[in-house]
This record gives sequence, structure tokens and C-alpha cells, in this order.
Amino acid sequence: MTSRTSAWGIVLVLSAWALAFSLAAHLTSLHLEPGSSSGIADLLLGGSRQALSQNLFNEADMYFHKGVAHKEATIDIPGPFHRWQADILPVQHAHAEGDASAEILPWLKLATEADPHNVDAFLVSAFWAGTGLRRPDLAKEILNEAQRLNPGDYRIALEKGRLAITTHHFNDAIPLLDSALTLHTHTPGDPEHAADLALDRAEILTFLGFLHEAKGDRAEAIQNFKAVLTIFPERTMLKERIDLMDAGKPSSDSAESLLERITRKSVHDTCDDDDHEHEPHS
Amino acid sequence: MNKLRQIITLAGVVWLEMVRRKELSVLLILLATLLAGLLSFDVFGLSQVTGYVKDMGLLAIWVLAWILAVNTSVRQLPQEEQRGTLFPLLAKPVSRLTLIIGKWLGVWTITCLSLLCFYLTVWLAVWIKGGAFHVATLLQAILLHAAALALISSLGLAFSTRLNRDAATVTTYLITAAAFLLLPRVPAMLVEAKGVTSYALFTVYYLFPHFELFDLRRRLVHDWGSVHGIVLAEILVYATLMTMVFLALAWLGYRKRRFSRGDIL
Repeated sequence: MTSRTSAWGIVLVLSAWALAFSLAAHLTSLHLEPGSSSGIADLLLGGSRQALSQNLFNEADMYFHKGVAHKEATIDIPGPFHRWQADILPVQHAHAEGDASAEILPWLKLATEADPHNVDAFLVSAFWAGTGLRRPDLAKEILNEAQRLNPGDYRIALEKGRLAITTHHFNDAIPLLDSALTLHTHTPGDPEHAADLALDRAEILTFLGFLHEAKGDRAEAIQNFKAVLTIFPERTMLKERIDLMDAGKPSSDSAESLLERITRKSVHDTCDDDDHEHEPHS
Repeated sequence: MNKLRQIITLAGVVWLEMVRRKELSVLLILLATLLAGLLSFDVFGLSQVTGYVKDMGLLAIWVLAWILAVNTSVRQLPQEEQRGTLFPLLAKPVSRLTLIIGKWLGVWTITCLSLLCFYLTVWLAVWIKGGAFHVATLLQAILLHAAALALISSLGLAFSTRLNRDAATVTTYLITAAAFLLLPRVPAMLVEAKGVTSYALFTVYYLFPHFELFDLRRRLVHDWGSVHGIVLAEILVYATLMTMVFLALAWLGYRKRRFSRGDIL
């Protein structure tokens, strides 16, 4: 081999290395979307992260019911196995409350680690931190993290607004709910979730209406209530409230008390909202 | 008395082999690594949360003990054949039934010892995290788990009498996993099933061993307390009977089996 060939070989090797380095640098800078980092979970699980995240989310539900699975239709098979199984597995409906509700959080945290775009897992985590553990500071922290990873999701801003209402930070709630409304407007319409989207929009507007009423801004409150009525014209309570405000008369229930009533949710409500059957709470 | 001594000697050989292979140490290191990861997992700064450590720790115990029981039981007889050590063994006044019972006893007792080490490790991890297990339920869980391992070991041994080691391993894994995951779902599946499918499901339900009966993880994790003593005794009797059935099948599969050095070499 001549020295000229060796020189060409070195040039080729160096060029190939430089090209590979540039490509690697370019490709690794493409992960611009928050939450899509090439972490270990991403590397190992790829697309199955969503399925894993959903599984972990379901495990959290199991913890909420203290290990009791949702009831489903079964056939009573003769023989001892069915009876033994019933004796071994807890069946009585129960809910984790107080400090016990903290046991739900690791599963929700794992669900969000597995899929940072599982907004439901973030929202439920924040709910449990705020309602179950009575730690609104922790709930806020969770929602901030959720917003960092999913900046375009209106549900997070809505939840932050709700949290601000429950902690009586009404002035903080208004901009949060305004931002939720803006994000909601830009949310692409999906026929499958049209009802949920309409409900959420009405909820944001109702909160804003009562908040503005509490602040003394009647015109803004009426405008929000009217917007709710365009979505749900059957809400006569709001119609009556608009009439009273137009006439300058006071309502029997204050805006603050109504805000407290509509944002109050106990851990049991989450189960009653659910679509599964169960025995009465123990 | 002589038979009992033979059985204990054969079981002792299985123990010696396990000590030499250091499988228990490897599995314990795996379990400890998993638990260390779980203990270092930060759950929003909450320190009192231990449920997930219990849950995942117990799941890991089930998986590791299952792997150990299957792998150890299916290799005993094929290994003796492959090494040629079976011939001097059978030339001695050792009956094939004694050989099978001795091997099974060795596998079962060593997996039970491993099981105790696994539970101790998880208990330690939960204790470090500030939690605790309900002692009576934990003891029941270990007892039923040990009964399940007796069943798995006898099943693996039964398959290894007629299948080669790889085939026996795969078959035992498949049947035990299917029984564990599918059988508890059968009562729900039967609601929709019709005709042949429902007959097939009924057959599977009655024929396959019900491993889910030995699993007290949910009771342990969610502090539901211990199982009624009579139910526990009934399940243990069921495990004993099923183990005897599989050991009898192993003996039937092995008692007339012919071996020649030419086949093995």
C-alpha cells in the first residue's frame, strides 16, 4: 500500500466520522416536543408506552378501590374453585381515604413517567393530591409539570383554575380559566369527544361567570352565562340568574357559595361518576 | 426407612447442584436491584407510601420463584440422562418412584428456601421504606406460595419424563402461565361463550391447576387481613392432591421408559 492510498484512507475515515457526528448531532436535536425525550422508557418501550401508562393508570383505580376489581358478569361454576376464589379475593366495595389515598399516587406517577402525554393521569394525580391528601401545593406542582409537558392542553389550565377556586384564590383563577378557554377554542373538534368538549367549555364559562360576578363585574358575568346557555339552553338556573342581574336584584345564593358548591368534590364522587357497578360503600 | 433415606439423599444432590450453580444468588441480586430502584423512586416527596414497593416486590417474588421452580424441576431427569449418571443411579436399588419423589423433594425444598429469602428481602425493603406486612397474612401467603411451588415442580418433573428439557421447559411455562392468567377469567368468559367454546372452557377450568388460589398478594398489599383457616386448609389439601396427581403422572411416564447409552451419546 502506497503512502498516497493511506492518506486517502485517513481522509475517508475522518470524513465518514465527521458526517456521522453531524448526523447524530442533528438527529438528537430534533426532540423539540416536551416530554418526548429519548429517556430509558422511550428507548425500551417505544410506542407501547401509552399501553403501559394506561395499565398503570388502571392499577391506580384498583388502589382507590383497595384492591377490589370492578364487578363484572360471571357464571357461578359448580365446585369449590369459585367459592375459594371469592374467599381469597376481597370483594367488598371500599375506597382509600385520607393518608391511604397517597398509595394511589405512585401508580399515577409511574403512568405519567411512562407516557408524559397521559394528561388524565396528571389530572387525577392533582385531584388526589388536592382532595385526598389535602395538599393543594402538591396538586399545583403536579399541574405545573403537566403544563410544561403538555402546554397546549386546556384541561390542565382548567384544573389549575379549579384549584385556585377551591383555595379561594379567585383573582388567580380568572386568567387561568381565560387561558383554558383560549386553548379550548384551539382544540381540534373530535366527534367522539364532542360531548366532553362541550361540557368542559360550559364548565370554564360557568366558573368565569361566577368569578366575574363575585368580583362585581356583572357585564362580563352575564356574557359568560349567556355563552353557557348557547351550549346548554336548558340550564334555567343561569337564565334566572341573568334576569336577576339585569334587574339589579341580589340572588339568594352568592357567587362565592355557588363556586364552592360546584368545585367541591369528594373522593367518593369520582367513583360515582365512573361507569362501573359496585356494592354500596363500606 | 431405607426408601426415605434414598429420597433424602437424592434431594440432597439437588441441593448441592443448586449451591454449585449459584442461581439463588443471581435471582436475589436481581430482586435487590429492583427493590433498590423502587426505594429510590420519588413519589412527589411523600415518604409514607409503601404499597407500590409491596406490590411490585411480591410480583417479582412470584415471577422469580416461578422461573426457579420451572427451570430446576424440568432439568433434573434430562440432566441425569445427558450426563449418563442415570445408569449407575438406576443400577443401584433405587426405584424410579423413589428417584422422582427424591428429585421433586429436592426441587421443592430448595425453591421454598429461595422463597423465604425472597420474602425476607421484600420485607426488609418495605421495612426500610417505613411500612409493614400483616404478619398472619404474610405467613399464609408464604405457605400458599410454597404449595403452588410444590405443584409447579411436580408439573415440570412430569413433563420432563417424556419430553426433552427444552420442550418440557416451554410446556411447563405455557401451562402454568395460562392457568394463572386464564382460569380466573373463565367464569366471566362463560357468560358470552356458547356451544363448543363453553365446553372447552369448562374442561380447562376443571382440568388445569388453579394457581390463582395460592396468590394472596392483594390481601397482603391492601391489608384485607388473613384468610379463614378452613379455606386455607382446603386449598392446601387441593395442592397436595394435585401434586400427588402430577407425581403419579411423572412416575407413570417414567417407570417403563427405556434408556440406552446410544440414544444419549
